[in-house]
Amino acid sequence: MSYMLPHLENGWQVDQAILAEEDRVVVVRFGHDWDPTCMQMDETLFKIAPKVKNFAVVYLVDITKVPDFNKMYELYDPCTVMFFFRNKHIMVDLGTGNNNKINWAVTDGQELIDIIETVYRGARKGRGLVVSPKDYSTKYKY
Amino acid sequence: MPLPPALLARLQKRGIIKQEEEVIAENYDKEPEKKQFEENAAGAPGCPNKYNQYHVCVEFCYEHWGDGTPEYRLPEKYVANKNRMLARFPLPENWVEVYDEGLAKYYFWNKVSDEVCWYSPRHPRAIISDPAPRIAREHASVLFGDTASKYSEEDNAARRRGGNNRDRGGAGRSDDRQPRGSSDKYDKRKRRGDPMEPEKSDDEEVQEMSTRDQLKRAKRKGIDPMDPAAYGDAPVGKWADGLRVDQVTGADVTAGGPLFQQRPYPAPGAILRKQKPKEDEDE
Repeated sequence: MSYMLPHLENGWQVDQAILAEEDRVVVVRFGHDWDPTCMQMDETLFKIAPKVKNFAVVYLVDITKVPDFNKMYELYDPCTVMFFFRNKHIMVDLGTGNNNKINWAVTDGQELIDIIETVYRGARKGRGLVVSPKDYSTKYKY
Repeated sequence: MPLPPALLARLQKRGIIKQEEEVIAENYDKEPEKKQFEENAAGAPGCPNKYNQYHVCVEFCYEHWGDGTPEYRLPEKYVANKNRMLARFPLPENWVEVYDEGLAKYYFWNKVSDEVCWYSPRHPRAIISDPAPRIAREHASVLFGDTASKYSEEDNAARRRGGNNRDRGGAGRSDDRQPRGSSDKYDKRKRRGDPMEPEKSDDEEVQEMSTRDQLKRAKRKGIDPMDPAAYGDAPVGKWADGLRVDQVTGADVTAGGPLFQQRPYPAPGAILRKQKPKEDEDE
């Protein structure tokens, strides 16, 4: 479903997309459209995009086409979702130890909506770090 | 053997010889001095490395060694030996006795020809030569041209390494380093004739320290034996040293512990601005 979501083709577009949003959370998915993990994530993102359109906007960035941020954002994972609000990176305490991003595929749309809403509410209050409604520390079932 | 009156008078004046005392010398051969070079005018007064023809005194020598050993703290036996030797082999004309605080030894200097000698020039084992600091300076100017400051820095480092080694009674030092050299070393030096051999340089001094010695030194200094500084010329580094600067990420790398999870990334615009000048340089 990635073809249904807007792609950003270069670093300048990424910057402008984030700068342009004044009152919405910018959800950026870094990865590759062909990646299975990304496919799952894109599916979920596409599903929720209309539902969250009042407070969030979703963009996809191909990290091969746009390698500008790979180093700075430590984009090593197949799929990385980051949240920005008013040109500021918003961290989410997901319980995974990495507050900077979601680096796995969220398959439950409602979970992702909850996270984005939490980010939006926290960011509106000026918080740089919000706590995820669900703890993902046990995400991996060993 | 009676002292010449002039010398006797001077020694008495300096208080070395008491009035009317006959000094009879027999076993001054035990005197630890050997043929080396010295000149008081060049170098730090307290530096014990002035005899080394590859040593040029730098600031470190002045700071570290200070004033050296004062003359009155010399062992009596040494002074007595020296006086006995002087009694047996009085100094020729123009030769004067000079005390060096750095090595805590007397040497003899020809005021006219600016030659020096550890023994009295009439002594059978005496080797008269040019002063070491002068040789060292010529050597340095040949090796390093006019970049005296650069030389002195390197030399300083080499000197400290050398100094450490010798403090341990270091094995494998050259005969230059051993003021109490044995007779075979002494002969070697004598055979070599011209003491200034151009191919010998500071590098050789560094190499002279065996790997084992270097590792011992590293252990003493608390350097990790796997650190290249322990066995090579590399400076001692920290964990992050040697990492490429552009591997730094956007998040605060100095944050650790709980802070580590609270380090936001910069905005994309900030990253792009940061990358821009770098790309311009590349082009």
